[in-house]
Amino acid sequence: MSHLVSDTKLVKFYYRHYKLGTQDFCREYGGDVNGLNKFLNGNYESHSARDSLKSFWEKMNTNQMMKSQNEDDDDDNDFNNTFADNNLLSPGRGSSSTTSSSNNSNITGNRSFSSLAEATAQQQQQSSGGPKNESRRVRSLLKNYYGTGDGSDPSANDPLNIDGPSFNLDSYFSSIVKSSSLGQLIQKDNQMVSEIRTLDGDMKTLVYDNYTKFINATDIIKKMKTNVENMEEGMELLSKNMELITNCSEKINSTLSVRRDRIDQLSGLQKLLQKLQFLTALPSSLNHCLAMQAYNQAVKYYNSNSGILKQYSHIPSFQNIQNECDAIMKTMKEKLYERLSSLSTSQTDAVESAEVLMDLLEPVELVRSKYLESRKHHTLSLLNNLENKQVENITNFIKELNSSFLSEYSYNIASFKSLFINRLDGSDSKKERQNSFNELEDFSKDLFNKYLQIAKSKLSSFKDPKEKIIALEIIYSDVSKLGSELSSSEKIINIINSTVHDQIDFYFESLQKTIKEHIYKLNATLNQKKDEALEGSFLQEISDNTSKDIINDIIELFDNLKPFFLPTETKFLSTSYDTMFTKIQVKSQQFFLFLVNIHFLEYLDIINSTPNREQFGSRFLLVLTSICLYIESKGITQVVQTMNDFVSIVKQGTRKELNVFGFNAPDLCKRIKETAQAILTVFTRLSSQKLEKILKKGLESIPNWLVLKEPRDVRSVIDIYLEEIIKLQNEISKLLPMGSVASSGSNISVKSHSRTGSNNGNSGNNSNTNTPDNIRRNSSSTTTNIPSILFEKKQEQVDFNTYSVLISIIRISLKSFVESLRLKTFGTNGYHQIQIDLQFLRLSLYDIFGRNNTTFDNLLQDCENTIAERCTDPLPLQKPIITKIVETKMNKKKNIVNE
Amino acid sequence: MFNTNTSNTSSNVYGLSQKTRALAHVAGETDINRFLVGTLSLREDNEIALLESKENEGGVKCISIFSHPKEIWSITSCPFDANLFFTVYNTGTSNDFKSSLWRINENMDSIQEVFELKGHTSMIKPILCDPSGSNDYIVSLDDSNIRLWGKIEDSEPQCVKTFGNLSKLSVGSINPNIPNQLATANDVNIKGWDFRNAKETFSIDKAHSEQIRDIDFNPNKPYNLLSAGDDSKLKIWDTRQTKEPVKIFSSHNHWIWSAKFNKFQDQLIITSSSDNTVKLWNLYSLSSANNTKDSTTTNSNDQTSDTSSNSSTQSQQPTKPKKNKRNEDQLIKTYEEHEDSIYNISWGSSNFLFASLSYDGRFVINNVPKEYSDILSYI
Repeated sequence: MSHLVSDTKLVKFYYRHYKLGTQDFCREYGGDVNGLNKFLNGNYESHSARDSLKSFWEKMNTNQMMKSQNEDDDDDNDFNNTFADNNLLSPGRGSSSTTSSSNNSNITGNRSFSSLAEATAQQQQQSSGGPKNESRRVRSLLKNYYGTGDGSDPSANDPLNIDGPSFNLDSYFSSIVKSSSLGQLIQKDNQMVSEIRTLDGDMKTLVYDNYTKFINATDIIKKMKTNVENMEEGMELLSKNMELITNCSEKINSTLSVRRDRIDQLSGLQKLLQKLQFLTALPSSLNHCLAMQAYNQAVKYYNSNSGILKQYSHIPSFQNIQNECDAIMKTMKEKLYERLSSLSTSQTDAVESAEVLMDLLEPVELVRSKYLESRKHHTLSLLNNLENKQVENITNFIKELNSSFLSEYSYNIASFKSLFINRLDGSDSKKERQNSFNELEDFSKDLFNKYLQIAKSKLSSFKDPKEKIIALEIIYSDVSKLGSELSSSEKIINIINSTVHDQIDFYFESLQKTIKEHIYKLNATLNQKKDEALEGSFLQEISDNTSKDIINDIIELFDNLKPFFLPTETKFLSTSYDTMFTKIQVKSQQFFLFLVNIHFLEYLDIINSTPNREQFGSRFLLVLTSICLYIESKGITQVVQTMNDFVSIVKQGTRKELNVFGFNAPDLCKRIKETAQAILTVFTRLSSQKLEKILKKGLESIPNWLVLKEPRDVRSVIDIYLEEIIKLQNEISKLLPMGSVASSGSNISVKSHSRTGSNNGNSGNNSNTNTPDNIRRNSSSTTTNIPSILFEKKQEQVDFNTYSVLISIIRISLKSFVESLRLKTFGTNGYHQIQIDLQFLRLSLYDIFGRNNTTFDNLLQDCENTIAERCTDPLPLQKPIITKIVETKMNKKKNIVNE
Repeated sequence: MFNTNTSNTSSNVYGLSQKTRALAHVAGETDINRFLVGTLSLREDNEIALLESKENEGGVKCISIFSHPKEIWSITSCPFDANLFFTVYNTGTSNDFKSSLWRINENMDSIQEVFELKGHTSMIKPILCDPSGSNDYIVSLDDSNIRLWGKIEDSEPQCVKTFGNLSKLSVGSINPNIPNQLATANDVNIKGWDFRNAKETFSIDKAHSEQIRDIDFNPNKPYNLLSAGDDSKLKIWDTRQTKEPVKIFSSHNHWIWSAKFNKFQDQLIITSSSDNTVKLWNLYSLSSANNTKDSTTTNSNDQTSDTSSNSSTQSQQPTKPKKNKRNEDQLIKTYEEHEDSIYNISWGSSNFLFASLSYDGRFVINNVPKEYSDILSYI
């Protein structure tokens, strides 16, 4: 309990309860006097003093507890309290009582009081154990001295109180004498004598004190008296001077009062003139501002003065100023507009310009559009710079692009908002605000498109889908940060989606491109190699390689598409898997349609109708056919496999039901086959042209078939023709299977037979001509002309084998030969020559296609019929002669081959 | 135009007993469709049939048959006199071709030789008359030379000029819109001539990859020329820009022997081929009917004659306000009545009637399908 007691409390307690001096206290409780004194005065350093105070405190507490058990002593507490109160109040009282005395005396007074208080306390201590009245009396005495506590004492009217005002000496004396014993009386007497003595001493001291004070006062009064006497003169002088001043001022007032009005007027005028000067100087200051580019300042000047100028515009000079100012402002506006639209203007400058222009009450729409335009240009130039940059790493590029574009962009948006949108408030500007929003939207749309375009174009130069996805993610996250600035986040997703879609488009496009490249490369190789290409299995290899390349490209496409659907890497895309997947499916369908129906057939168009600068030859078509067949037989299955893999990956990625289109592989195969067919047909046509040229030239090399020597040998042109056929066979067989000889052309032979028959019939039939019954004859003529078609109107199907192709080629060339023969007129020898040629041809073709094949028989028979028709004297050569000549020729040829 | 003339009725066919090559529209008759058909027989008697097809009744009627001394390779009817025609014929003896003018006598039962155009040495091509219908001049060609003859009257005309000196000359056409302009085809090349002073005016080298069989000027547009030949392609040229053709059609399976613009509706072209078919084409984009596109078409001609530009003009067609298949360049129809090579084809006097003649002697009259022959809708 004791240690909780603070030092201040200890001190207080000491003062309250210890009635003796410090030395006594020290003797009683230990510790040194100096330390205790210091402690009591607030310097709590001495531990011994504290300990002693504590022990005192403990002791007193235990005493008090015992006391409260033994006796009720409220008064003692009372005393303590009042004493403490007095003690606290004493300095203020002291000082108030000694106001007239010096500071020094105040302190002494204070000290004297404390010593007095101590003295009384000592007295009380000495008389401790004596009646309570004693201490009460001393207290009331003190109270009287200080002027407090009058009437507060209950014992004030007690006539027995020696210190009270109603003290009655006789009753006191009689009561004492009556109540006291002699010893007591003697003691009382002694006590009273000593008290009287003390009081006497006290009185003496007081008297002395007062006396000195009085003397001091008289001294001061004396001094004052002399000083006041001197002052009177001063006062007189002062009043004199004051009078003088009053006079002077009156005088001045009276003299100046006339001018004052004038001065007032003049100063007013000057103010006005200053204003006017400012106005006249306004143009120059505006100019100055303009030169300094302090546009803000200029606008402030102008705006503050334009009202006045307008107000006085009826005065010509003001008018002039106004005009001048307006002109300057106009140039300034122009300059501002220029600066606004200049590319080199920085962002802040542009904003400032726009702001100033708006301050100038320029139409908001104009400023807005100008601002947007210039910003757009600025951003675009920025973008263009980036666009023209060589890119090493796409992600870095995208980062750079984003940092430069998006910061610029967001700054623009923010400044635009503060400029045009937030400044307009009030209900009527709602529409205007909407306009601003719209324009901003257009602005951002345009820029964003450009930005995305650049991003896309840069992306497109990079093949690696993973890098792309990272780049896309960067775009996505950076753009999403701008989210609030665009009208909706949906829009960004749309943009991203469209980027992805464009990416998909790009893949497909580039696939088409690479396929085209493959095919052009193939053609170039073929053109370069020429006949070397026929060596070995080169054709087959190049065809297979190209096909494989194409198939691989297709597979690679799907590989490239896969990463888009891996949910771990492309979370930001996951919402749009659906649309992406559908898009891919549609695209791939389109692609295959393109590949088959357009791309491959395109080469036919090129050959047919354009200058064919790439020189697509017949061999190219043959290889193309083989590529088609390869894709049909092997490629499609591979592609379907890849697509299925792809679909399953997508399914894993989305974990959703997807609308999977069925991939119609059989249909595709059919289409490819059809395409191959068309290409092969054209190949047949082109090859036959080569052959027919040989035959034509052969006919034309003889100028007149009417006069010809008797034939001895087969014309060499037939050799050439046959050689060409062998070459073709060689070429085709590199890529296509041989096929069976009999299958193709059998139906043609039937037709050919009927044709020859009908022709013969015809010639005799229609000799009667001018019959009236035309219609009947017409119909009969049609019926007799039973379809006897050497050459079918509709192009017949060419099978994918060497023989079928060769046979059609030969058929067409022989048809052309017939046409050429029809244009000539032959003599008998010419007829014979052709007969021999045809027979040789027939035998040679037997060698190639086998003797059982009747296809050529009929064709050759047609030729023979034609030549007979065109012969002036068709006497057929005797068979043995033909056989002989042909056989020698065959032998010769075989020998040549053998050698 | 009643439906009696539908292409498939047998009445539109006439059969001749011999092989035939020569067909000519009697240009002097403007009201009725008459055709001259000549037979081609080396060893038998040859004849010329005068056939008529009435537009409103249909059918083919033989007016008369005239005997002709030698096998006929071509006939040209004189536009200034329906009774006069030239034939080119082969005497057969020493591969000697001759050409004569014949006159049908008043009874319409025989012909009489007026004169022979002497001086050609090799195979003579079809004689060319003045397309404007005058008898002021004719042009004849053989394998190497072009001859311009003076006024055609009863006696042999004067040979005004001989020029050319080419090889393998095959066919010629006189431009009806530019005076004195003649185009000739030799082998794969086309040349334009001013035949009055025998100067070359334009040339299209390697117009086709194979020999050219026929050329024809657009009757209404001065710079449009068609050509067709052994490469089975029909090409349209602008004679001012001859680097590349303005248009290419290829659908025949064998040589094209004859190709002709319709005189009045020049968007219609017929071609005949040794694949035994006749094809009718619509070439709206380059025709005079396409007035609105006229300037742009020439523009595109000036720029390039690449097919890409063609396809662009094609693709522009459907975007026109009046979308019409008649405004698209395409094959209208393939006629398949013939069973042998069709060497000659000719438009008749009626706007939309044409005759074709195949080697086996079959003569067929056909009409342009109705949706293309409604004149009013072209306006």
